[in-house]
Amino acid sequence: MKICRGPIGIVLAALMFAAVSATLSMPSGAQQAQTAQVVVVHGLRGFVADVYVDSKVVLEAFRPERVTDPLSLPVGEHLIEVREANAPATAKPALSTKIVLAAGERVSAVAHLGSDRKPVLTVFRDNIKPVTRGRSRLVVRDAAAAPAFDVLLDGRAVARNVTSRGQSESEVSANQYKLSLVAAGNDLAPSQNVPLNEGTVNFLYLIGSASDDSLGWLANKVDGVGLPPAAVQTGNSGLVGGQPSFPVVPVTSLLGVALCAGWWLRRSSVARSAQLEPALERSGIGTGSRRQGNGPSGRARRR
Amino acid sequence: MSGSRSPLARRVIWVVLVTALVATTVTLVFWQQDRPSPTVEVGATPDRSRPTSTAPPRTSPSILVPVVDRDLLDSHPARLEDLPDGTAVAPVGVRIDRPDIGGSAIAAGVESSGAMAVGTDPLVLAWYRYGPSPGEEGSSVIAGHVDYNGRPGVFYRLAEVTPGASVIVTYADRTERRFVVVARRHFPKSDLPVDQIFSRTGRPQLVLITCGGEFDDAARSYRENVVVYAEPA
Repeated sequence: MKICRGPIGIVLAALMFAAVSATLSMPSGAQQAQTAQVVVVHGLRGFVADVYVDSKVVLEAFRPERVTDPLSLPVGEHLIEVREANAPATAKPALSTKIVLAAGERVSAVAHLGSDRKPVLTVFRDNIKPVTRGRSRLVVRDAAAAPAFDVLLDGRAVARNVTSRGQSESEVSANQYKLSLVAAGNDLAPSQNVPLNEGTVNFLYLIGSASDDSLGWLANKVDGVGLPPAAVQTGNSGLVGGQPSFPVVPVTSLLGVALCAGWWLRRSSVARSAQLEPALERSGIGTGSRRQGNGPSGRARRR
Repeated sequence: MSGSRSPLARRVIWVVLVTALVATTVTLVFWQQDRPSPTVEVGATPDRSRPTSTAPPRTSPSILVPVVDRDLLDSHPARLEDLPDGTAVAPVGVRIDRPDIGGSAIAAGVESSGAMAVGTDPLVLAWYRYGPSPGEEGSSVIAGHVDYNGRPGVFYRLAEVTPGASVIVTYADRTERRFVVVARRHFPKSDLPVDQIFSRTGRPQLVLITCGGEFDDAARSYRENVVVYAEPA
């Protein structure tokens, strides 16, 4: 009790106050940003799965060639496990991986065939930063048992030598493209028409196996990563009158009235000119204020 | 003669003089105050706060999930063929009834400067092709010149359009759809609400846009945008 009254008490109180106000003023956005998003992609044909996160099942009977909605998880380390559907939660998982999540990021956990044709779980970091206006981001990921390939859009290479569990990322003009993969000069998989819309990120996964001719595609599109046009410029000639225009009519008529009144006063008071001097001075100030009021620059100069 | 005016008349003239000067000052002050935001407001601003679809995944509110629970997740098909191709039936013409203005429209994107591409023909409208087609979900934008290189443009009189006016949009498949003007706004160009005007979600809305306000001779550019909002009839 005694300590609270002395200078130490004051310091303690001040520290507590500072701590409390710091806590209160912490933006709620900072707390919200302490999460990340995880998307699970199923690229293993013929395998129905239960998905576990940190030993809890989050999705049952997850069928192949599907993708989950984004799952929000706190930042930090998490355990992703995949078991065969209806397998007990204690059973050894078919696939598992640890992921470390940073605030605000999005990752994709992909179950697929590795280069040795065995199932594997790969974690990709997703670039969902805004796309340049008028463009679209294409991310091709190798989630198949296939030789290294080049990625071509309308016959033009946008990436070379993509290998298993690797990816290629490119930003292209928004358009419909013919996507083809070439390995050692030959088409690896049938060409596909891909709509790459403005302001989207398109994650494309090559899945399956080249050796049994089962290569195929999965796609996961993220919308709303574009920017609207910055401006609309639709005139350069000034044919349309300014709006609002300078109030010419009211200002000139009011000044006219003032001038007439001043003139009448002056005419009527030649004999008493000595008394009227202050009045003329004031009317002079009034005229001056019009000039200063003519534009913001005039005001600024005055200050 | 000059000294014959009565004190009453002199007083009246004084009052007139002072009143006129005060009124002038007040007029000028109001004119000055109006200038930074000379927003013309006609009609109620369309409410964009009630989107018909959820926000994109990136911006969806993240809830803190300390314990992951059963059935938290849903999944959807991920086949390439399931990607929506986003090709809409483009508008090819716009006609407003009051005042009678309009013209043909082309599809346009963005300039390297980041501004919407509007073309160089003052009589041809530009539809923002990365946004929705008029009548689809979200805000569809059609821009037109107020003037260009000394010639009046197709939207020379857009600032005269008032709520209730009818807008007929013609599409590439030769169909037509009618919209009704609900509001007109004038924004300083620096304050143009581009996120709202180019929104890809929310109720269908048609935005017609041109330039207006004061003309900046040095920059060869108007200081404002005139924005007309219309909704499906």
